[in-house]
Amino acid sequence: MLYAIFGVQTFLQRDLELRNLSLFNRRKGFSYLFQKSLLFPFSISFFLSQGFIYLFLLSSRKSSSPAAIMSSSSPKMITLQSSDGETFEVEEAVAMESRTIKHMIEDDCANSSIPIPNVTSNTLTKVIEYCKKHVEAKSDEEGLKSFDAEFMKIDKDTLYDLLMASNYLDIKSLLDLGCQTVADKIKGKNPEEIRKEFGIKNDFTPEEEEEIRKESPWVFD
Amino acid sequence: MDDLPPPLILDVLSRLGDSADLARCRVASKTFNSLSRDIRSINLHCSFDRYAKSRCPLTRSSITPFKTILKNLVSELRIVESVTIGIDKPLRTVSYDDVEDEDDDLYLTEVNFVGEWLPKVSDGLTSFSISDFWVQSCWRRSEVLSLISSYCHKLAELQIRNAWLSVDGLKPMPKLSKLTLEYIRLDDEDLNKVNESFPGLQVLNLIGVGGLKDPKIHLLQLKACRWTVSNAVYSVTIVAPNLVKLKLKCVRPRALVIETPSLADLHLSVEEASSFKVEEFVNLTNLHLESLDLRRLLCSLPFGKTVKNLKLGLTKSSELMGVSKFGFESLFSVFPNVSSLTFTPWAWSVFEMYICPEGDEIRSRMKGLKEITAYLEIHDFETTLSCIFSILDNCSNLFEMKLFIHRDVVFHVTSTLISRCMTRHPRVIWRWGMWKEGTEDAWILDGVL
Repeated sequence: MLYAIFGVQTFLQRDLELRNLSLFNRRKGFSYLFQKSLLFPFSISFFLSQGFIYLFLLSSRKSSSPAAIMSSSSPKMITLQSSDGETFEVEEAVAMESRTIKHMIEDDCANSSIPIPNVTSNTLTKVIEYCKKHVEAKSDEEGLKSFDAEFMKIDKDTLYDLLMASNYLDIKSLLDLGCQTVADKIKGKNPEEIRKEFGIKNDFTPEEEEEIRKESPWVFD
Repeated sequence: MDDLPPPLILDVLSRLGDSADLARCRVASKTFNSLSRDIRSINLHCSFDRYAKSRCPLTRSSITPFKTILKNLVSELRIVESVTIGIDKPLRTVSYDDVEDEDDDLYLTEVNFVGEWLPKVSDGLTSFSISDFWVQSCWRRSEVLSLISSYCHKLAELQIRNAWLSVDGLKPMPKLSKLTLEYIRLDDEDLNKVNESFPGLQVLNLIGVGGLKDPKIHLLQLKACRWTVSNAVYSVTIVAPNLVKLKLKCVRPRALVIETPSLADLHLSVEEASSFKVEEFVNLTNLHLESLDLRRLLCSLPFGKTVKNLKLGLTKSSELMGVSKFGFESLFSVFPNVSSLTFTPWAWSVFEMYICPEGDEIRSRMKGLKEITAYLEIHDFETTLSCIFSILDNCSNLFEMKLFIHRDVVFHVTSTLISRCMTRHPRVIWRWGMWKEGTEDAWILDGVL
C-alpha cells in the first residue's frame, strides 16, 4: 500500500519536473515518464494479488472443517431413549429410516440422546431390528420378504404397539407392513369374530346394529 | 385396537381389498362405521355361491341383485377413486354351452347399468376394472367405452375382461396411461380408434382380443406392451419409439412389423411369418425367442449385439424333424455378448445335434458366456454328454450350469450323466433338477432324486 503511494508521489514529482524541461529534452522525458508510470499499475496489481491470496486462504480454512467430518470412517451413532428410560445406540443410517428422527438430525437437535416418549423399550427393540435388517439387506428383495413374513408373526398387542410406533416415528415400510397384516387378519371374518380378534367393544345398541345390518343385507345373504 | 388413531384404522380398512369385508367391519363398531365412508375404493365380486343361489328358485328372492349392491355402495362412499367389479374365478369357467342364460343381472358392461352410477363417481375415478360374465356378455355389443370416455376425465387405468366392445363414439382420453383388454371382441379392426383415443398410453395389454384384421399399435408414449394375437389376423404391426418391454405372441401372421428401437426386453413367440420387418434393436438386453424355425428367426432378424440374457424355445415339440439345424457357434456369431443362455423344453434338442468344432476363434467368441440353463430330454445319452462337454471346453468363463432332466428318463441314465459331468468339470457350479410338462420344476438336492 505504502509502495503504491510512494509510486504515485514519485510519478507526480517527475511530472512537475518534466513541465520545467525544455522542448529539447522532451523526448527523453517521455520515455523516463513511461518507465516510472509502470511502477504505479505494478504496485496496484501486487496489492490486489495479496488480497486474493488472503481471501483464498480464508475460504480454504473455512471448508476444511466439514471436509474433516466427511472423511471420518467410523459411522456416526445416535442414541435413542425409550419411554421407560432404556437407551439404544444405533448407527445413523439405521436411525434415519425413521423420517421423524431424520428431520431431528437434519435440524441439528440430535446431539445428545433422542427421547421417544411414546414407545416402550420392547417395541423400540423390534423397530430397531426391522430398520437394521432393511438397511443391511436393502437390495435383497427375496430375503427381505421372508424376513418381513417372520417378523410379523407376533401377538396382537405387539402388533398394535408396532403400528403406533411406526406411525409416530414415520417409518413408511413398517407402517405399510403392519397395516396390511392387520387387514389380512380381518379378511373373511364376520362382525363378532372381528370384534373378538381385536378386542373392540360393540358400541351399537341392538336397534342400531340392526339398522346397520339392514343397510348392507347382501353381506349376510 | 380401539386405541389406534383414526388415520391408522382408515389405512387398515383401505387395505381390505373387498367391499364385503368392509361392510362386515361397519357392523363391528361405530368408529369403523363412520370411517368406512372415507374409503375410496369399491371391490365387488360375485361369488359362485351368490350366482347359484340367485338361480335356485328357493333362495332367489332373498338374494340382493349384484347390480343393486353396487349402486348402494356407490352412494355410501364420499369419494370413489377405484372401482373393481367382476365375477369370481369359478364363474369365469362356466361355458356358454353349459348354461342357458338370457338374463342380464350379471351383464356388467351394460351401458344402462353403468350409466346409472358412473357419472356420480367419475370426478375422482382413476382406476376402473370390469370382469364381465362371458355367458351374458358375449352376445351383446356394449358401448360402454364411449360412456367411460365421456365421463371419466381423470381415468388413468382401465381394465375390461370378457366383453364385446364397440368403439363407436369413443372420445379421446389423453390421461389414460394403462389399458388392459382380456378376452374381448373389439370392433376396431385395425386398432385405429384405440391409437387415436388413447395417445398417452404407457402400458397396453391386449390378451385374446378378437375381431382384429390388420392390427397396428402406434403409440408414441408406450413403454410396456403385452400382446397375444390369434391366428385370424393378417398382419401384426407395432410402432412405438419409446417401448422398453414387449411380449408378443402370434401364430402365423403374413407380415410382422416391429419398429421399437428402444426395446430392452423382448419375448417373441411366433410359429412362422411370411415376411418380417424389424428395425434394429440397439438396446436389447433380454431376449426370449420361441418359434418353430429358430434358425430362420435368428438369422433374419437384427436382434443386435447387445443381448446379454438369451432364452430360446420351440412353440411346438412334435415338429422337431422339420427344423433346420443350428449349432452353438452360429448362435454366438449372432449374439456375441450373451452371458446367460437358457434353453426351454425341447429347444436343447435342436442344438445338440451340431457339435461345436474346437478352435481358438470359437473359444474367443464364446468367452462371454457365464451360465447356461437347459431342459434336457436325453434322446441319445452320448450326444447330450458330448455336447455338454464341448460347450464346457469351448467356454472358458462358463461357471454355472443348471440342468433339468426329464422325469421320464431312467434313473441310472440320469445319475450317470450327473456323475460324469461333475467329475469331468468339478470347478463348474452344477445344479440339477427334474422337469416334466404339466408339473413344476424341482431341484435335486445333493443326490436326493
